[in-house]
Amino acid sequence: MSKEKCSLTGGKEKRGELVRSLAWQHLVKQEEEEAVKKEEKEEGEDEEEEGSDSSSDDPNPEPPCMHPDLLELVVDREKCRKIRRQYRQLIYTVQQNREDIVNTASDTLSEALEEANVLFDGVSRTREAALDAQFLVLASDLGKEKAKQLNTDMNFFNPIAFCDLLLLFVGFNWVEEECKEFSDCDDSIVLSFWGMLHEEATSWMLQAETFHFIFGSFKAERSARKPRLGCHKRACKMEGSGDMPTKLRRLDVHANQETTEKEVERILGLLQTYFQKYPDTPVSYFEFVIDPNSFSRTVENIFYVSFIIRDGFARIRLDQDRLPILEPTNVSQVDDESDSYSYCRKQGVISLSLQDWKNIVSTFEISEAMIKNSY
Amino acid sequence: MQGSTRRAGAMTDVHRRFLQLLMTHGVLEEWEVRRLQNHCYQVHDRNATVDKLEDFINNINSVLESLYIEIKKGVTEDDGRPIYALVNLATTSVSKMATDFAENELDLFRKALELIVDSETGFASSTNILNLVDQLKGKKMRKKEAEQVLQKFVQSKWLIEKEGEFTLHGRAILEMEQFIRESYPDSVKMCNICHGLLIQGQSCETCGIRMHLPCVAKYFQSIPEPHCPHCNDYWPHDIPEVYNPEKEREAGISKSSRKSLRTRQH
Repeated sequence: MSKEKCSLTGGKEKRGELVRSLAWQHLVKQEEEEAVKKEEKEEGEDEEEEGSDSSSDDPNPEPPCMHPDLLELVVDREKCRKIRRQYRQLIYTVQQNREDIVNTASDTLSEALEEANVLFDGVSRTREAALDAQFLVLASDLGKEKAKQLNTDMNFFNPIAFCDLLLLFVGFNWVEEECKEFSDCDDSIVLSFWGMLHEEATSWMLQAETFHFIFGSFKAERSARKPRLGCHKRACKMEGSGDMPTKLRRLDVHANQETTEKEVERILGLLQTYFQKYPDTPVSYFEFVIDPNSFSRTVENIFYVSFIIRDGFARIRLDQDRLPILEPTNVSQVDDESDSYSYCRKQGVISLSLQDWKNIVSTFEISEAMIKNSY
Repeated sequence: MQGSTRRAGAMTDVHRRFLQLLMTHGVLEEWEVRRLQNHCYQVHDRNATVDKLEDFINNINSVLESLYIEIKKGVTEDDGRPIYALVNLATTSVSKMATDFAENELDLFRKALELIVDSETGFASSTNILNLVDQLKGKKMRKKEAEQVLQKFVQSKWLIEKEGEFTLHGRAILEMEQFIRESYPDSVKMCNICHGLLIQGQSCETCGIRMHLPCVAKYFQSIPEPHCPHCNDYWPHDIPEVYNPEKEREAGISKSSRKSLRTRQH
């Protein structure tokens, strides 16, 4: 009896613990939610880019049991916001001057990095650190681009500068000549230009162009020619398929369209045979398009059926249970409708998630697809 | 021929300059070659009488002979324009090393050549060539790179591209004729008229003989009803016009002068 009691009290204690821990969890959760709310709020403030102090009109006063560390952060919120603004400003300016930073040999990037370093000293929370990381990504990206442009040959060739020097060398003054294009110039000037250049250049290019050839660069390889017949056949076969190489991409697109058209026609055929078999019972849309074994096929079927509806070969309607059904359009009706709702085209969007699809399959007890795979 | 070889002791700077120019260009049309010949005389020996072009070139060839290099004359397969190319005749250990192209690039060229020779039309589509890129020897090449390499071959006048189809440049045919004949004995095609290597041309639909377009033009020039020279069946293709340098010169004079100016600029 006493043992029982003991165990009972023990159980009570345990339960008490459980309750406490549950309460604690609840508290933590609440705190978290509040933190999230605050984050969202701050986000809004930051987007407005206004620095006004908003902690005073905070609708959720801090719960008294807040952790001291968190409290400290709340005190620093203004500072944090300032840091974030500075980071954003830094990222913005660097992005704006991207071209300059990459193309000129200035120290702007390292200066920006140093600035970020200083800013990082004041960072204590993840949010600011994330901005720092974002800036680092940008900086390293720019650094990579700069590194790519690094000329490791240690000599620069700037064609524009070269042109200027060349014209100076020949004794031209571009401004005086006032011709923007070489071709605008007098023929005699052009000739004298090339003449002078020719004279100067020959003394630097005493070496003649080397002899270029392609025969003789091959290593003798008679053995590779043995499987000739097979090769020949393959070559012939390939000729048949690919006779329009430059238009290949366009052809491909066309082929793709054709497969869509083919699928639509195939499905229309299936639908029409169904209508012929059961002229009085319209087919349930879901039973028609859903493939219980493949979600993606289902989506494709919906896509293809939409063409059939658009082209007026079938109509989609809600039955008495407000479920979509497909029914044939007979010619007389079409005529009527073209009179009454002439050119009134309706559009609808069907959304279907994986879960929806599963639900439909189980609700309608679809065990077999009406549209079978053609392949 | 022998006589001119004897006389060839007089290989002067005129010849050397000419040879250097031809080395630079690789292949030139006849009228350009004549212009260069005159230019070389102008520079080095104004007073000398200008040799006939054939003699002039034979003179140079007699010296080049020992190096297995030759200035060869041919005609373009499509419109029969006469061209001159400086070609290499031998495969030596040195020639294998002195190539302009990397191993995989050469292999790409060889694969393209194979497709061109094997094809009915003498053209290989870029798609088919690019499809062989995975099988190349040497360093791996991406399709994009292979496209650029093909362009490089076009620029250095080994291949010609027409609407995405590649065929051999006259320069390549002049240099590779022997190689192609030996390497592809089963698929190589010959012209029924000149018995030269044929890459692109017309063929008789009855007996299958083939003829170069310029050969067709010359052969049927004055025949109103063209018939196959082999089986005498009706020749169903369009007969191309015979290449006429005078007419061409008149039509292209402005174009060519501008072109030469531009080439000098480079």
